Amino acid sequence: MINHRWLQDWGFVFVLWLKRDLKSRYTGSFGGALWGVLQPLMTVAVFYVVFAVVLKIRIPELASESGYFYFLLAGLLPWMGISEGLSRAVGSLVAQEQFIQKLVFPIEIIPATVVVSSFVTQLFGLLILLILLAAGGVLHLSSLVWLPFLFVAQLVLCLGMGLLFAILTVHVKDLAQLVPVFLQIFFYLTPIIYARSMVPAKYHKLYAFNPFAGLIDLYQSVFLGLPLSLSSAWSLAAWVLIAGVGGLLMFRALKPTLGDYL
Amino acid sequence: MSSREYSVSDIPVRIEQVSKGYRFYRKPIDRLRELLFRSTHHQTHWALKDINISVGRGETFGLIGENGAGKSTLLKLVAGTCGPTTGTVSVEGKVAALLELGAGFHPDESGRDNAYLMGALSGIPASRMEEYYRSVADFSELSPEALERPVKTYSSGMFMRLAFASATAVDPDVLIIDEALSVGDMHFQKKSLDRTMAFRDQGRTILFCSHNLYQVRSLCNRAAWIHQGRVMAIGESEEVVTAYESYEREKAAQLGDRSGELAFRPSTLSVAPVRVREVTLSSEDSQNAAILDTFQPISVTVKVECLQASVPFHVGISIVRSGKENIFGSSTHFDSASPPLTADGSRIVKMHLPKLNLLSGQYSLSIYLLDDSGLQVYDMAESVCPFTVHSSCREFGVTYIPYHWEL
Repeated sequence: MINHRWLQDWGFVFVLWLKRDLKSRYTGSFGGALWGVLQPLMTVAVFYVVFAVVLKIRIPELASESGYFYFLLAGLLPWMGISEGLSRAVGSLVAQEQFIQKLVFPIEIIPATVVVSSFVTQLFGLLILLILLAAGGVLHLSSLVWLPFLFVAQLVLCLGMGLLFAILTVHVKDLAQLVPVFLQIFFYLTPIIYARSMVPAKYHKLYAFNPFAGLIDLYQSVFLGLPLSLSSAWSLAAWVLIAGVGGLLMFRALKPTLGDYL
Repeated sequence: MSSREYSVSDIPVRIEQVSKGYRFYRKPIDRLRELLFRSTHHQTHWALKDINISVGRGETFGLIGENGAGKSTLLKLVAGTCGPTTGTVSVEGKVAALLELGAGFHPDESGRDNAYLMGALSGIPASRMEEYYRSVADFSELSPEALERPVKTYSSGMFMRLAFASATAVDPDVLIIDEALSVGDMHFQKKSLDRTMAFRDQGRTILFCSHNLYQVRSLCNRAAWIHQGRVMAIGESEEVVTAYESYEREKAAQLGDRSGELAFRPSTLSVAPVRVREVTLSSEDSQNAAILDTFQPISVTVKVECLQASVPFHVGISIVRSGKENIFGSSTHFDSASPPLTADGSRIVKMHLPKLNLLSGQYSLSIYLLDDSGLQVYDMAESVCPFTVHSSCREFGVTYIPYHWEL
């Protein structure tokens, strides 16, 4: 089914749909697309004040106060991309029910654009982080070569989970309420606002069971120029296979049932 | 999704042994149990059962039937938005489906962006998009300024025009239309009908579902009557429509439909360019004849009011019994020698019947004002001028057919 022609035709639809999604999220507001970047930055500012200024949290590997600021951004920006993409993907097929019933096209496009559109916003945030790192004189160019790998891993992971959640929500509407709650729990279970080294070492093994911990850890290491953890890389690879590729395969298996259920 | 084969044959649409069932669950959890354990916890409603339809290349095929008979489900199967439960549906070539005009249009997006997405969804590559868009813009007759505005600012007529234009500008091999022809204003209705006709004349295959039996009769060469998910009749559209009409009549009779109440129905279109103003039935001795004798010469006078000057039209007159059954009808466009009529203001059209071959009974007249192609109904007055015919001869039935015995 997937051949050159297929990719060309539907690739174009995907691009137009992505543009529509990006546009529709911010049109009508004064800030426009700027909100895509301002929103995470404002969240970071709140966390920074609470944890770095009030609670005086320091990342052991990064002594200075600004170290925590960069650390927060390096973990929080990808996390926001992931969680926004997944929480919007969950209800995306149900929301476009009318559309799916009236037009013929690969329905993968709908949850996929949502995931990718959140990823695009995340890229703008990361660009700002790079500028800030460069301005602070702590930009580690050499470790940035790993970034493309992390991007691909994140996309596969999120597309797999997003598509699977979206199609399962058609059958089990409760997921639309459950997934955001789980994402919130995982936000605190993943070392984003605190460092992994602050957690007792005996619990570190458990991070292998968190689909996002490896990815976030690698993002933090890449941006802050810290040594990459091999265990994180393994855990990420495993999750990309299980949740990412597995999710995509399960989506394909469940797809034929969709037309009847919506 | 249904399996799609792309090959060239003379039967681009093939529906073989198709049944379509929708599942119903009593509780939401049943659906999950079924999904996870592959066990059965549902009841099935069969929307379609054992359907076999083949539509040949260049055919215009009509689907008629009551609401909920399964016509739309059948069109969805051919369009590919859902798959059959059993059986196969194969469609060859590029399909354009007008299941619902404007499905997929985003209110905040401009007319242009919406048209682009529609084009891309129908398989227009980026390289040909400009060409496609120009043809959409031309056909929709929307100003370049309007096309840059979000479609939520459009009137419903403008919206429909853009939707129809973007759905049909893709040059389909198979066109699927679900009740979509009656959109927009009079002018655009005619235009969309013309485009459909042009597709037909180019030898494209058209699948067409409508409640407008007149349109099915005149547009389609073959038709199927779907009743409760099954094919009740299939064949020449005239035969199928007639069969369906008699079913409808019987049903109406059972429901106690009183055909005695005859009235001028309001025009179906508020912006019709021509209207039926007055209908009179006259015999030689009476101006407004209500009681006639068999074999009496009569004439029907129709006064047509033209709201737009120089719009060509035709007049169709039919003698009707029990409010629905056509006994005899004709139209000025049946006579190929007569050009369409035009008028400025109003115009009188008379039909003379030198010998009324009707036997005893209650009859009335139905008047239709048609466009120059005879396909689009501009205005109609159904079951007007009720009259009673008294027959002095002993033959019985509806009409007198000349005969003689050979003994």
